[in-house]
Amino acid sequence: MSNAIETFDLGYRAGKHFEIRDLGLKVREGSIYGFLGPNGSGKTTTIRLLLGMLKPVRGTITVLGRKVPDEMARIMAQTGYVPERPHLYPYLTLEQAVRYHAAFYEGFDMAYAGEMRRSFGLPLDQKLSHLSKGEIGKLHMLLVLAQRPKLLVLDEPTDGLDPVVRRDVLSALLDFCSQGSATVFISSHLVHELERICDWVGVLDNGKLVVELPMQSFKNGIKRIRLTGAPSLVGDTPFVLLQRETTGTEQVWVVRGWQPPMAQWFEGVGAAVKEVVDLDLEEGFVELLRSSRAPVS
Amino acid sequence: MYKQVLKAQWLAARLPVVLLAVLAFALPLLTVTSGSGLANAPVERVGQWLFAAQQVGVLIPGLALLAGLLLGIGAWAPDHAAKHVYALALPIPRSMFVLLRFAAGATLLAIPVVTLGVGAIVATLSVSLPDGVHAYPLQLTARFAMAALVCFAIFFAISIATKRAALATLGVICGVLLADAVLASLSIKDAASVTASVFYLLTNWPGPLSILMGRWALFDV
Amino acid sequence: MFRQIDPRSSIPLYVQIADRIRIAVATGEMPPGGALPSVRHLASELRVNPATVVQAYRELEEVGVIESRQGAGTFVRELGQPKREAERQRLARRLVRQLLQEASTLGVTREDLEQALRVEMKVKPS
Repeated sequence: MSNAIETFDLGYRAGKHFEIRDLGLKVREGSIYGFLGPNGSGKTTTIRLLLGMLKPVRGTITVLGRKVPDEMARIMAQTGYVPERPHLYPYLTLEQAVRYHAAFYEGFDMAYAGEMRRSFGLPLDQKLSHLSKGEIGKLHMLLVLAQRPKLLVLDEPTDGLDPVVRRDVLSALLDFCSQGSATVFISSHLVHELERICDWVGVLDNGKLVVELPMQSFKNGIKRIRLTGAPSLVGDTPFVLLQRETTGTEQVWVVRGWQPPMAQWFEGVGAAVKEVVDLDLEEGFVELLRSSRAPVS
Repeated sequence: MYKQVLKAQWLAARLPVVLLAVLAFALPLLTVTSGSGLANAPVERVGQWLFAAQQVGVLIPGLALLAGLLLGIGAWAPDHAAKHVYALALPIPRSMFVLLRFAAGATLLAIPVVTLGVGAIVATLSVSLPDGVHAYPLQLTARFAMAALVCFAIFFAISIATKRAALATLGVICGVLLADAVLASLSIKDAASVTASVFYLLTNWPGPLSILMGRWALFDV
Repeated sequence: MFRQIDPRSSIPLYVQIADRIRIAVATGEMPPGGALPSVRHLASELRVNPATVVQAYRELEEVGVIESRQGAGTFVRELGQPKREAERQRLARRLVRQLLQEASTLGVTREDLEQALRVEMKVKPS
């Protein structure tokens, strides 16, 4: 299984401070990879680096087996990109915009584009400047899916869209994914949306990749543990300790990488586990960020 | 691809192109107002008429400059608005996209060139010229085409530049003007004006703007 | 029928989907021999990763609830009456297990539970 996107020791700086540091992404072919991170963590910058729009200060980037930026045109021929902000020409009508886009991509499927346009309910002869945000969002997805690309790079594609439009856009995306083995790299801070569709997750905080795991492992592995008699000094743990606090006679630890047999470790240090609580992706994400910013003492 | 780029550029620049085409058609016709009965008119009258024609003729390189400016800057205006993201994400090398835009802009430039040619021919046919006076409609049109293309290329290149480069260019120009003002105020004898020198360089062969200079006349002896 | 699957639940999505289908089959809502929606259709409708649907279908096939026929699609197997009854029993036991787990978390005793069961079952018609 090869990687659709791979970076090694990627670093980028625009001013005095490094925006991206030691970034080592591995996006497996055929996966739907969710790139999670709070606003300002560097998600868009990372995407721009991946697509050769920014020049890294350090490190290497390989997309679809080719080096960035050496083979950019070949890479982009097989990549569908939806940027954060609208980038199409607003004075074109929808039909003109589709035809313009289609001219640059060899395998552009006009019939598929027409199908999506009808199911999205988009008007052919309206200028893009007159379309609503939701309609533009749908158009973006329509254009990249009709390219039938090997890789989709989506930068917050549903941001600012109402729930109904979001559903339509995601349905179309997943419909396309089911037809073949495209890889999807989707960045978002809408955790619950990613939770449904992604099989991998990479968390970016402050320019660094905090964690990169299969979605299920990430979700299953983050737990909140209520216990008594926890030791004050902690040495090696079989899990990763993210947070801990004391409330009254109990302690609450938030851990990552939990597996049920690890309960024995607690017995070994004389603590008693009262309860192991599952955290959903959002809670886990929040705890992860909190701990990466203020590491546990 | 070219077809679509041309279409997109046309849709963005429709108005200026039509405006330029109308002006280009009108200018040669302006030179022949009051041209009736010239064939047998006295020499002074012909001389006066030629002089008037040349006055209008000066506007033609001006039009070439305007055409180059409008279409050169207009070529990149839509991309600038969205910070070139769309163009950068296309699966073709950047140089190729620049070439497509240039070709499209040059194609649109052909429209006012053609209308100028038509206007010049119509103007030529509408007067009966006295002996010794000739009309040069095709030469005028060809010269206009070249001049417009050169101006287009210059403004096209300036337009692609990043804000930083454009500001730098502007800064240099201001610096040169400032230097001249300082020199003038210091009243240094025989000091050559920097602006004048630069202007001379640009407008004399092989300076790029030399094509705009000289006599632009539809009718000449 | 579906399909308010909850991504926030700790139960993996594919298990939730498989369960819904099992319930539908057990109650007869999805009749034997009936066709299941294609992976493509279900993934799109539920807005989940197609791999998740594939996993759900694979699990169901393993336990013999559905079968896939080459080129024709996926269909509900003909389960005999005893098998369907076994399914219902399985679901009932699962419900009870969940109930017992929650009760212990909340500190509700077995006696409390039995009492409550008796009351509720009398009040609500079956």
